[in-house]
Amino acid sequence: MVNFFDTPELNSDTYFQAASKWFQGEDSLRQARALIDGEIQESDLWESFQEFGLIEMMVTEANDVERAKIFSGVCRAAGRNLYIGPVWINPNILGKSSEFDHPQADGTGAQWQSHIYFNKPLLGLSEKANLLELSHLQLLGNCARLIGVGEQVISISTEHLKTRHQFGTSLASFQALQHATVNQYTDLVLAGSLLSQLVANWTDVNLRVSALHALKVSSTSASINACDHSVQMLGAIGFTHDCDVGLYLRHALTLAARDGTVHAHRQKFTQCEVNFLTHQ
Amino acid sequence: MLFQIDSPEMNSFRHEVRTWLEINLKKEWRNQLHCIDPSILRQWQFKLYERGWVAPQWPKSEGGMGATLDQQLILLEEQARIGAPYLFPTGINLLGPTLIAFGTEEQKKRFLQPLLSATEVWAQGYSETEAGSDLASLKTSASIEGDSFIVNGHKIWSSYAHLADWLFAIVRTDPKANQKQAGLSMLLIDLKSQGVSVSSIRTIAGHDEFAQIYLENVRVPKQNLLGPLHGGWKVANHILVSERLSNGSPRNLWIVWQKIVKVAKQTGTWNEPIYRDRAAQLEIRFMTHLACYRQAVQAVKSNHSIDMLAPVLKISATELLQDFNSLLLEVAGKKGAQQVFEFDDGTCIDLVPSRLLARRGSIYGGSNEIQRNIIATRILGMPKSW
Repeated sequence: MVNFFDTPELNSDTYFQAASKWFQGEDSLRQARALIDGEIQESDLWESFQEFGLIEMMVTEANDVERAKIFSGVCRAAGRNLYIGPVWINPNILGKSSEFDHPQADGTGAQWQSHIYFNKPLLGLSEKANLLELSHLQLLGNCARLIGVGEQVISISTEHLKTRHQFGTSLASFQALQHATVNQYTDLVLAGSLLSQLVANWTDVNLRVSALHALKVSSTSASINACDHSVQMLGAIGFTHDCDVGLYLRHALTLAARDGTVHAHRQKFTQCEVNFLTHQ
Repeated sequence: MLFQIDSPEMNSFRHEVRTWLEINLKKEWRNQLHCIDPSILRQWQFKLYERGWVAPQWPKSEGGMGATLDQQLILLEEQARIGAPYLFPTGINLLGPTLIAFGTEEQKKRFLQPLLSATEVWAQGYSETEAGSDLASLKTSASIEGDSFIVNGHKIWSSYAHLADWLFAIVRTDPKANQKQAGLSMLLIDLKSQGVSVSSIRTIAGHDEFAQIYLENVRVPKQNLLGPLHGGWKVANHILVSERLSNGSPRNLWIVWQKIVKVAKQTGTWNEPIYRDRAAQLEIRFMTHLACYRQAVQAVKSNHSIDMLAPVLKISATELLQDFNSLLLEVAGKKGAQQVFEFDDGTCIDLVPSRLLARRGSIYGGSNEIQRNIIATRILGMPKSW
């Protein structure tokens, strides 16, 4: 299936490409369904991801910008392919900060707090700096996943609109549906741009903090709106358990609640010292 | 600028531009988003022309600056920062690059220099009453008689045509052509010619910004044909990449954002959580827009297509500007219906005209509905729905 969000930049992103291939090989979409259906456990996902050594190799040896680039690329690919497990595990370093009382919307369990763990400190960072860097990376990865989820569901539902015929014509020929889809598309492109620019300027720490708050806000709304829209475009089919878009919506809802809500990030954004006026 | 760290060369160019603007742009010319006195516009354009900065994107050989994309953006950002007036947009942005691409040597020699110095102001004659978004169905005709075209018809929505000296117009030269896009030609028409009458149209914002042009048996010499005969559609659609970028330019967003913050701080609304949150929502959208704009700039630099980004930027820039202006009026509180807002230091800005003027953004330059059609068909591969 064509993904309409494939930019030249993404096509030449080797980490994103490698991760996409790996997730597809693992049939991560089927695993996500099995997780919701209670057929597998999260720990099954963790174990298999450990075999994919890209993250560990790169995060320990790469510089700051590269690390952010790798991590966001892998997480975006995870979002697109609905890989809902963590991308690295070592609960001794980060995590366990919050516990949930009940299972999450996407089938992940109450003990699953954070989706980024590293098994050793990042190169050249003190323990405190390491924690801050990790928490920023975690938020970045969460946002990249949200964007990946949105990009995939819009591609799925747009294909459906082109295929399904009613009133003797394809659904995609109705302008009302076209423009509603385009609105989701533009919001995702804009959020995707913020992701790319944030990563490219990762070393600008003041900008990073405010841009991360902005990114969580924009990626959450773009992603959840895209999922809701896609359920609507698939109609009664979209409302069924068997249809994949529901899995994406569940995952987006889970990611939205993690690492700070939209309101919390918007509030923090207003408190950032860096705003547009000081940056001019 | 966000998402952009200036190199030392860029930094020194920025400093040079900023200093020059501080000295040369009169205080009373600044921050006037509305249509300011055309004589001021001519003076301001002439100053930039003398400095060599009036057409940064044009090649040097044609009287432009031959600026790098970074330099172009610095000029744009610095002019936004100080609130410099917009130049007559039609000549420098639209006709100039088209003349450079399609004009004969004689045409370039005759028209480019006066266009740059604003001694001749140009208007664009594209739209007609029955040919707006569907431009190719235009009816204004030109028949050949000896060594002239005889033009008959009516053009409308031409910015500043009532102040202009010349018109570049797309007209139908072959009514029998198979397709409506074929059989069109581009003509350069002297607005002082016999048979031309121009009347201005007042906008919702209260400015005489547009005009309509009646052409009745207007004689246009054959040497004023721009590009090939019956090949005008291609000429009309010749828009440089940098022009496509300018549709999504954050320039007006910067200007209005500064107004919002300044007004909100004076009225005290800046510290009210409900307003601050609304401002934050827009500020975050502004940040995503800037990121997308930067993305497009980088794509241009690496010779990647911006076909995917250009319509997104156009929609985002114009709709965000409208939302900014709505907030501007709200943060002004009970003064929100005033034409002008006066600050404690005595300086004034446009309030209601700015809000009203922003309405046009989603209409012109290919309406936002057309932009959405473009995304649906060309990017998402959906069938034509009109």
